Amino acid sequence: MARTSLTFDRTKQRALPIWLLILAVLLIVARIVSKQYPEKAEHDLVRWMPISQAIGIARTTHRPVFYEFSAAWCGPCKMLEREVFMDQDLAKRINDRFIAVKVVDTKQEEGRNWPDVQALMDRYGVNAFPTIVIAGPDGSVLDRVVGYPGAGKMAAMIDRPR
Amino acid sequence: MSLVVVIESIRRHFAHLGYIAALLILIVIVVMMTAIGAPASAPYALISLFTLVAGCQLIGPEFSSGTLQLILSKPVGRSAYLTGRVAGVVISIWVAVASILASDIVGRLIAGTPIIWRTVLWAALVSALKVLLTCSLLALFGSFTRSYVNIGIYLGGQIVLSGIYGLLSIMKNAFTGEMAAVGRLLRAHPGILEGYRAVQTNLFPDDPLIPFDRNWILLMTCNAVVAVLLACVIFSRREVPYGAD
Repeated sequence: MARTSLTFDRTKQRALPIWLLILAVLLIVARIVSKQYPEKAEHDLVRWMPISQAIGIARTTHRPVFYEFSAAWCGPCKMLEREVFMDQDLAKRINDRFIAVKVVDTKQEEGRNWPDVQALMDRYGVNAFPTIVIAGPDGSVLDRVVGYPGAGKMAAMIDRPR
Repeated sequence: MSLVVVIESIRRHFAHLGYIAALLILIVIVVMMTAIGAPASAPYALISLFTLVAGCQLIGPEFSSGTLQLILSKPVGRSAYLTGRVAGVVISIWVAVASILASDIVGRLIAGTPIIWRTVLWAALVSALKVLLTCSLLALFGSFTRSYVNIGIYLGGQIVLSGIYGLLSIMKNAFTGEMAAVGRLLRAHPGILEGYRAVQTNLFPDDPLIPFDRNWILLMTCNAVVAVLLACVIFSRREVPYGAD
């Protein structure tokens, strides 16, 4: 017949769980290693707002508007999307700091632009793609980049105090 | 971890009329939300409240009610007791997450809306991992406080940390006036704001942008395990008072 111990070593009562310590160390190491290989998104991660709502939201939240003027045929625009808008960190910074608006030119495909798109292109004098315009809630231009300057310069532009 | 404590914690939840009633209400709400075409992640917002209610009584109140002294007179290690409590509460809330997932799927089938499995399963996993981290943090805050102070620290921390970050972000852009010196300092040392943000996102992480993001999953599990480990360190060395508050 098996004997059951009726005593309990009280010193064990304050012992730390070794398995939890090992698990924590393993997870910390895994996190550090995994951080070197960030996952790539399959789609654009920026929260784009409709043109009609952007200014209203910008005024309420006191945040600048981030206009991205692009076109479906534009190669550098795709690079901008892949390297900036699909990057978790940069996309998050854009989402946190700006009201993002994507303005797509459809002149080549449809022969004309939607009136609100054309109005914005005329207002900011856009004649090349991609063009990034950062505008205040009142519509004044705070920053402007024509062409895709690379992810590093885009990050600096996003972080620049305004 | 003590299996007895885990089972007893789960049993306590399922024997509680409030838990069963809340679960049933949750299921009805989810089916209604799904029927009107709510996004897959929407029903899980209710789980946050569920987690706070169930998680706040993880350890803190046992100090104040005086039951802890009695429990620790039994042959159970302090860490084993604490990890068992965390596991029991987390599993009980995971049952609610699984119920929401099942109700969401049933609701979509009834409404005839297509089920995007990847989105639906990811929403459930995000919720489950948030439950794990929240309960671990509540255990950590409860390990050095009494009563329901842990929930106060958790909610207060969330509000204060994000408020200070907002203020610092505004100050960073100050070029003139009284805040110009602070703005200059923050611009000269961007690491201050980045470090602060790192603390904030580690304690209260934002929702992931990419589905099944390996780094986000690791962040949640790693921080939860570290929080429970710290809770065990504090709890194992803490004096347990006699009697109730």
